[in-house]
Amino acid sequence: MATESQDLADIVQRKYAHGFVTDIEQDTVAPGLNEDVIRFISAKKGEPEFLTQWRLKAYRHWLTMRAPDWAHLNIAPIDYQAISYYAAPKNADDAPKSLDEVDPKLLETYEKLGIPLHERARLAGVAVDAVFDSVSVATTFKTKLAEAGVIFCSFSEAVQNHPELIKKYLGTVVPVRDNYFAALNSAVFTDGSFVYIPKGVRCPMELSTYFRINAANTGQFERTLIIADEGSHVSYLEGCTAPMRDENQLHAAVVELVALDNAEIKYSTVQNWYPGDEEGRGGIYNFVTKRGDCRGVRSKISWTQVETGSAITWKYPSCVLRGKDSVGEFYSVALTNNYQQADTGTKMIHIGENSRSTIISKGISAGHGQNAYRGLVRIMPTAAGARNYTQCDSLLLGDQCGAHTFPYIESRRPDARVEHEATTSKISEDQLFYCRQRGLTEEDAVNMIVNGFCKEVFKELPMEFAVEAQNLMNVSLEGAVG
Amino acid sequence: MKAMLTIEDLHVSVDGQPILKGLNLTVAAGEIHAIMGPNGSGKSTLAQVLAGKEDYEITSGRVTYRDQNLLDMLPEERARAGLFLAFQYPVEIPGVNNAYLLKAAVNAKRAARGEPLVDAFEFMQLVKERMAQVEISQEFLHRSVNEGFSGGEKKRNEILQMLMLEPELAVLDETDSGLDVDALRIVAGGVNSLRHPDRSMIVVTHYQRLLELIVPDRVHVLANGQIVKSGDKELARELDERGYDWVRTELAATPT
Amino acid sequence: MAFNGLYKDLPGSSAVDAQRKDAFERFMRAGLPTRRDEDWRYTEISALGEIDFRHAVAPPATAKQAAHHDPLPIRAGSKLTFVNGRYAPESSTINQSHRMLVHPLETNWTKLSDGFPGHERVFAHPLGLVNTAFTQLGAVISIPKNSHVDTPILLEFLQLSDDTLAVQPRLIIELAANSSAEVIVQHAGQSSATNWTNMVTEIHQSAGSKLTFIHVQEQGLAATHTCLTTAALKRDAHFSGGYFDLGGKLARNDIEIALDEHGASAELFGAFLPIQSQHADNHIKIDHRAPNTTSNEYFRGIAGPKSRGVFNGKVIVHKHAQKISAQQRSDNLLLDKTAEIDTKPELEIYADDVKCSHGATVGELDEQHLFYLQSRGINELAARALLTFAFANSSLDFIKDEALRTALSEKIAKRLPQHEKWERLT
Repeated sequence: MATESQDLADIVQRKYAHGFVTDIEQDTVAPGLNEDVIRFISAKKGEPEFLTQWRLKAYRHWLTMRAPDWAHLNIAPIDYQAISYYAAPKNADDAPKSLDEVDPKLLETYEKLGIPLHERARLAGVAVDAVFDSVSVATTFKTKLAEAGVIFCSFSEAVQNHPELIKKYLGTVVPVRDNYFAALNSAVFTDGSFVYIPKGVRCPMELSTYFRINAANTGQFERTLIIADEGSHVSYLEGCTAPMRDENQLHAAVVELVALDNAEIKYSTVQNWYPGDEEGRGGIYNFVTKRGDCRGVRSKISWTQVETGSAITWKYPSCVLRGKDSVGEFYSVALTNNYQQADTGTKMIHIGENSRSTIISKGISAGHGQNAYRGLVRIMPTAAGARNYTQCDSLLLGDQCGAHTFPYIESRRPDARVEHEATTSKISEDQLFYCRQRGLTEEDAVNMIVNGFCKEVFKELPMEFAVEAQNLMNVSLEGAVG
Repeated sequence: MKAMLTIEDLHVSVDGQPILKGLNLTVAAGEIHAIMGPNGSGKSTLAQVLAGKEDYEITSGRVTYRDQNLLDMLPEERARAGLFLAFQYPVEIPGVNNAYLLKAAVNAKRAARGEPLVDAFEFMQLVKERMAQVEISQEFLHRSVNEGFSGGEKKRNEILQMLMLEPELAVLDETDSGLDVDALRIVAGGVNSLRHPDRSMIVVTHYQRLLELIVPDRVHVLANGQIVKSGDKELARELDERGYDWVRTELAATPT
Repeated sequence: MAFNGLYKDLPGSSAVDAQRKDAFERFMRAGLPTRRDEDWRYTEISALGEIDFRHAVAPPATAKQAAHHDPLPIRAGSKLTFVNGRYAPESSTINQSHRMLVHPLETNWTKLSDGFPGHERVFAHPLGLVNTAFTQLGAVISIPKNSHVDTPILLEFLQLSDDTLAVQPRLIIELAANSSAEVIVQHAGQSSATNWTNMVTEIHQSAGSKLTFIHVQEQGLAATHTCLTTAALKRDAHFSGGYFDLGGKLARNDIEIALDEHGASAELFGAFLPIQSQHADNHIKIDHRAPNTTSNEYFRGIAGPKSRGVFNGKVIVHKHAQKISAQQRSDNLLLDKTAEIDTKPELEIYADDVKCSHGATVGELDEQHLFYLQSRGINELAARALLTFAFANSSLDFIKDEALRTALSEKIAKRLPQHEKWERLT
């Protein structure tokens, strides 16, 4: 809680705290996209032929597709030929084997982001896989994880060391033809994370990745694949930031999760890409395809996201509930301030018997922000006894913003039950007055009430992320009150 | 005796409709004043205006609180200067836990006064003690502010906040309404424990029964936006026996 | 497209002719909507373009024929009957008075000297264009200032022909300031022909007016029924609309309400019962364009074997439209494994001082309710049938006219499976 002693002017002036640029020589391919660029990326990474062909197939299909226009978003046209599709830190060729080998400047970057790798890793028992622009630069705790049989490495490493797993699972949850941005990602992805939890293993620590877009005119196209084998359990955290730049930058990631029988994956995201300035200049286009496949019986996939950054967010972390008694969850907080736009939500596709899903979505709109929830709950004829519960609340701060709700419910089972509730309102004057009568400033009262509004989602986050998320909300709401 | 609060010729309107029409009141430090009156007489308006609610238009008059112009202060400034309002209808704030609000409020006041902030340990000790006093179980600390509380629990929660904040001037707006005998006793016990020569209270109520437990120094009758009659605690008793019509008839008989 | 043949020998005024030409050309360019259009995601009507429809060519039906259908047992002040796409004066009773004016279009095209009053929405909607281009029947109802019409005005559209008719009625309702009226439109037919009714109802409500509008659709099981209602409400006007879709192979209601001025309010309610290989879609859009406007939607859907029920309710609160209350409820039951319900309650909000909510459920009957009835000695089949009926019936609570409510309740009961199981008990 801010106190009187804080200089108000300082608070108002506080800008995007993560907006610094690290000066590292980039190994960058010239802007533009064609088959040669794709072959270059694939060759640069020493990929097997099947992957090169897979990329080309995706690219050729992408050429036949059109960017989606159904979302409640106003997107300036993107020149895909102006983007550079590969930017690796110079010393990536002799990839660091441990933290000590990581460029100290990079480590400094993470310090500024508030994730002191050493400390955080040691104190919190978190293994961090940090993706800087396109290439994974550091992975910690490999030894401890290896003892448990857990594979946690950069996607590139997995391609080299575990091609059979890549071949078996890549693109099986999000096919290359799935959508425009997924096809693009499949063609040009440079790196990302790979996780495999063997049968019966409970991952001994939370796995974490920090993504950061640094170079100008680069897109970040990371690819994450997590496989939880039978009876295993993993909790994965993902954080994102990018420096301030005038122009928009594209981030089009694909995340695929596979949960086999009795496996559980918990995937948490705190997304704080650069949102653009007060006038809506710059900021990241965050067009992400995230999908989990509950393939096994009693498998469970839980998405938690806190989306405060990006100029435009287009993402729908989804669950395909194939397994009998499988469970899908989606907990989301999305905040749009200034000229940010978000169209986000989830899809819960119920295929398995007695599959269950829960959706809790909290949208906060401030400034000129536009915030849309878009969700699909589909009950297939095979999903006997399926259940869904959706609660979708929107909070409006100011009369220039928008809050929108577009739920799609499609049921084809008489014994399934789907419930959807949604509300839209502003903070009541009575609540504000009550808090101020107890001595809180209006700004503090708003922050407190907004955090309370998000509580059901924040409580799903691991502890250290929950605190970060709360602070992020307060920073992101600055200037939205009064 | 030093004046805690002085209200001079206060006129207040809501949506152009006059509610308070020239109200005068002086409360000295250490005193408890009861304000009684029929429904719609302006009792709650007075309480809300003192706390700084914005929906009220102050058309004229002055309010001085501890030598400061109260009407110039923001609601939170009044709170930090020691003015506390126990709400008639405490609002629910989903997701915000009670302990959090309490601590934030205590520290906001301390920070404003240049006092050291309360740490987690000290806070828990203090709050546990106070909760025992108003017979609220500790699980309430972790529930959302007033959410799912019964009417009586909400009122006891208001008194708990008052005990934690130790205000110089407490305004209790119909804190007795909807309370059973036991809850009434608990609330009164909390209020009486705060009695102090440097602290004043204004108890707004419709009924005399609370005033059996919190014995006022002065009793005022508010009718049609003005204080029409003042007296000692006997006046409350008389009102209880004879009803507000008695005041009205008496007033009608008195030429103004 | 098969529609060319319909575009000839149409009645009208010169203004109407110009509108028809414009609408026809626009429609021919745009064509019928497809499922790629978000608004038609769940309902496919493009096959209509393949059918060789004809205007009403059959001789006007006799009163005897008209008597075959299942009329609503209500005491109507005026009744207009249309059979097979033609006005049937011998079956109609028009009670012109100083309180209301009811004109069948058949003999009153010249009254439309300025063309159809229209709403931009009618001309923006694909079915509005079709209707504007081809309409050949309908009525104008005008209620003068301060008039209160205390008996309902009934319009019956009967399809008794075996021809593949395209019937395109146009109804224009104008309520002057502080007037009130109730209009009931019944579409009925026993025909097994694949006829198509495409109705447009334009409602213009002046300040302080109140309209109750009830739509009852019980056409034959081969019929396609599409219907667009547009209403624009001025200050403090109130619109209460009930939509009951019981018949037809495919039924689609588009209801678009504009709350244009301070204090205007709308309630929309209804039930749709696609039970026997039917498809019913209710598509609602409410625009809150002014402050202090309120809306309430309450729809119940029940889908039986090989049937599909669709609800799409959209509430838009425009910028500066503050102090808005908008509620939506869409509750649905599936009776069979081959049934489908799709519901999409949407909110689009650009103002902050609002209280908007929606709720949607899709599922089966409450087991506790079932158990309760069974514990009172009602067998399971009867209990299920009774609860299913009760589920649909609750949409009638908005209707004040008891005779109408009872009549609709009976119609609903008859459509539902196993209704005789519990009716015997009551």
